[in-house]
Amino acid sequence: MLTLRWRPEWRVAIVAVAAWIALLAGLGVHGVLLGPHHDPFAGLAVWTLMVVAMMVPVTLPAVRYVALNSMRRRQQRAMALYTAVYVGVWVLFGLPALGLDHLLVTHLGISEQVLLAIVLALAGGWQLTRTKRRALYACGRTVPLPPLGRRADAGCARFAVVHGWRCVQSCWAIMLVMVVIGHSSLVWMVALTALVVAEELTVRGRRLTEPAAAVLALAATAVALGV
Amino acid sequence: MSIVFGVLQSMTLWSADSSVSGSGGPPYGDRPPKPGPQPEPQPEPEPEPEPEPGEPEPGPEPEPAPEPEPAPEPEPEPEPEPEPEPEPEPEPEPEADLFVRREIWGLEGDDPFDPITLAYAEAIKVMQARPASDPTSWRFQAAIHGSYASPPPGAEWNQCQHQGWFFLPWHRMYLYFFERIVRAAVKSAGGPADFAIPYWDYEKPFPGNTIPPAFRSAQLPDGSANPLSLPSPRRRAALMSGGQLAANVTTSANAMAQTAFTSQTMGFGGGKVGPQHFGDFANTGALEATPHNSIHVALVGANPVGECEGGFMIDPNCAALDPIFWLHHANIDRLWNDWIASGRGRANPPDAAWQDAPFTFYDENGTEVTMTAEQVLDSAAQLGYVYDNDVTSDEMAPLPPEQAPQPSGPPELVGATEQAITLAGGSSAVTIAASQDTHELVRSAAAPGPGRVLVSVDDIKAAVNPGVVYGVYLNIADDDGDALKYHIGNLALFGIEKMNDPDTRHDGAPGFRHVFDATAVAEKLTSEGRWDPSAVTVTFEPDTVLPPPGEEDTWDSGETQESSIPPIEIGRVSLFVA
Repeated sequence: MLTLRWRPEWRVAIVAVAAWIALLAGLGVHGVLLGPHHDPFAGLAVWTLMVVAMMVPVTLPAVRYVALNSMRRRQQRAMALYTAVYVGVWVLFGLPALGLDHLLVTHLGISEQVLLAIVLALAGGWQLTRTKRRALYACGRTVPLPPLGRRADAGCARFAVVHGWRCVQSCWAIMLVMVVIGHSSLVWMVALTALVVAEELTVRGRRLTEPAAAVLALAATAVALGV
Repeated sequence: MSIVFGVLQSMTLWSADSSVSGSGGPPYGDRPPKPGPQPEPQPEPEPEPEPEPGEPEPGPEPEPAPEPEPAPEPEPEPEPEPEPEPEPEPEPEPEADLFVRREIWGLEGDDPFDPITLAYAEAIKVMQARPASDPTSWRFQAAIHGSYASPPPGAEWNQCQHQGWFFLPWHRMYLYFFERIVRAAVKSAGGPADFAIPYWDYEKPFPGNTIPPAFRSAQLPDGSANPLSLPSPRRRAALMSGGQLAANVTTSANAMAQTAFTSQTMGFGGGKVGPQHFGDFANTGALEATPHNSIHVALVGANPVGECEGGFMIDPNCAALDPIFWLHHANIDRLWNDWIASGRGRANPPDAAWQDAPFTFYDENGTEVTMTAEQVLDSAAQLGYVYDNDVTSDEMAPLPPEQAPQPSGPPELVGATEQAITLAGGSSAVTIAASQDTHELVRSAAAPGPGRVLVSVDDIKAAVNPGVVYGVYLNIADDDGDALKYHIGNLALFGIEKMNDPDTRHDGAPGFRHVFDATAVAEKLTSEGRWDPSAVTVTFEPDTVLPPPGEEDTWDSGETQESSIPPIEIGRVSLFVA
């Protein structure tokens, strides 16, 4: 109980775990989950689930910050508000991404293999950019959280937008891989989640940025060659 | 390739070599290494006989003052060598002696340029002449802490650890290898083989709280430029004119009162931080905050800063270019030893994550070496040095009142300001009204007992470090004579440049928060009947340099009125109880 008092974000962590369970259950039922190319609306729902599973773990320190810096009676409200807005930022990113993917694959007939090779190369290249690095190193930035009333809610939402946008800047290319793959591959989901969590939450993970770029480039080459 | 330091206890230490110090014409005195930890300083720099094993500390030197000019050191034998000799090969001396880091004011005595201080100055000249790509050069060593320049391929620059629990061990390792490099340069020049970096105990009363004269004199005794002295704007003009640091800047009382090295609310040595730590409560340790950060900022003051174009000490990327940096950190390192020695449960973290984290430095041969905190926990046994005032817990002066035990749960926010405030060089105050339903909790936390009161200054923004140390006071009134009684800490933005740098490769995350343990002051206010949960006033007061005693009316600080002080914006000031 003592640890849980220091870790009020555990409730949000459970939501992320539930999202993983739901995704795994989906895989178990269908073998391959509904790909976004086939139904963009269903794809959006699955995308949201995937964002909760993959991106909420990254923001748990921020959830904790929001909780511990809110009045006790407002802590759960603040965590819920922050998480909802943060996920909302990622869903907004997913809308055009899923739409474009649907257009390219379904209507223009571009091979999924070619598309995957392109986004993997893009993700590898993005790892090496200044914007990626800046976004990664800006992860501790905060905004004032007023203690009471609507100003408190507004501060919470603003913090979620700031942090969500920073997170999109850091990870959009990696998540684009998941847009193309759908989440038919558990291996991809686990590997990319591990990379993002390591980069964002660990000291040594910060040093994975460049090796990850090389791995993504290799993967792009392998996919392009049909290996 | 890294060399992992193994059994440091077996490291060979070198004692004074009379054939070196006496015959080559070095302008230094000589002194054998101290045979073991000793409580008394040894200010005299004159030659002493080799101590016998087990011999008590040698007494004061018969000569009251060293030579005014550097001169060849007389041999203990009747006939000193008149002619300079080629530098002899250093020879191993009987080992197991310890190097002694001495207080700079005690070393200098009546002569600013005692042999140790002079040796330091001459070694700096040697190091400054080396190319920046040489790991034993002055610029390379400073860049290990931080630099605006691009590192040579493979060089471990920009490694300094702040705002977390690696602050103390990393700086101990850094200072240790720097000292070895300086000592090698000193010995090569025939200087004292027992050279150890002095420390500056600025917490002592006047003149201890002023910059030592050797660091203010423009010239060395031989008339050459003194590398120890940096004029304004490198250092604050008022301090270079002999002014005194304010007591709230130099105090270590709040830090020494902490009983935990690291905790989730406030600790002596800093919090367990990862990259994304969002200004947790205990990121910056109490010692790192004050006096460490405060001294870094106060030594420069409100001078324009750029990429090492202004004051050095105020900016982590330039700080180690100032020779006084190393004396400052020796003092911080000494306080760590003192804190451990003061007992009552004070201990280093047992966590493997702290003890085993490797850091890379360079030794006197320029060889890359790796070290962990576990290898530097005992400075005497593991690194071979002591401080001249190292004491045991039995000898410690009475400590400030003990801090309350660590709370079982996280601090609870009870009130905060709604609007941002700006500090621009003047005094400023905000009043926090604790939420009505928490008043009893706030009263309880401020009563003697296990409760704690924390004041947090959140969401700090500053384009540049303003060079002002803001003392932070609780419920202070205009007629309070001793402001220090209500002092809860300082707001000194050392490292803001790193925080603002979006491209930093520096480990750790920006910390935009300063948390102060206000428990002792809150309890005092309660006892005085001045603790009202509905109106807790936090006052920010800029520091000032005090004139030397007796010169209040005549002293020229050498400072001109600055046109404006760069602002600091504070998003929120909040009150927590635990």
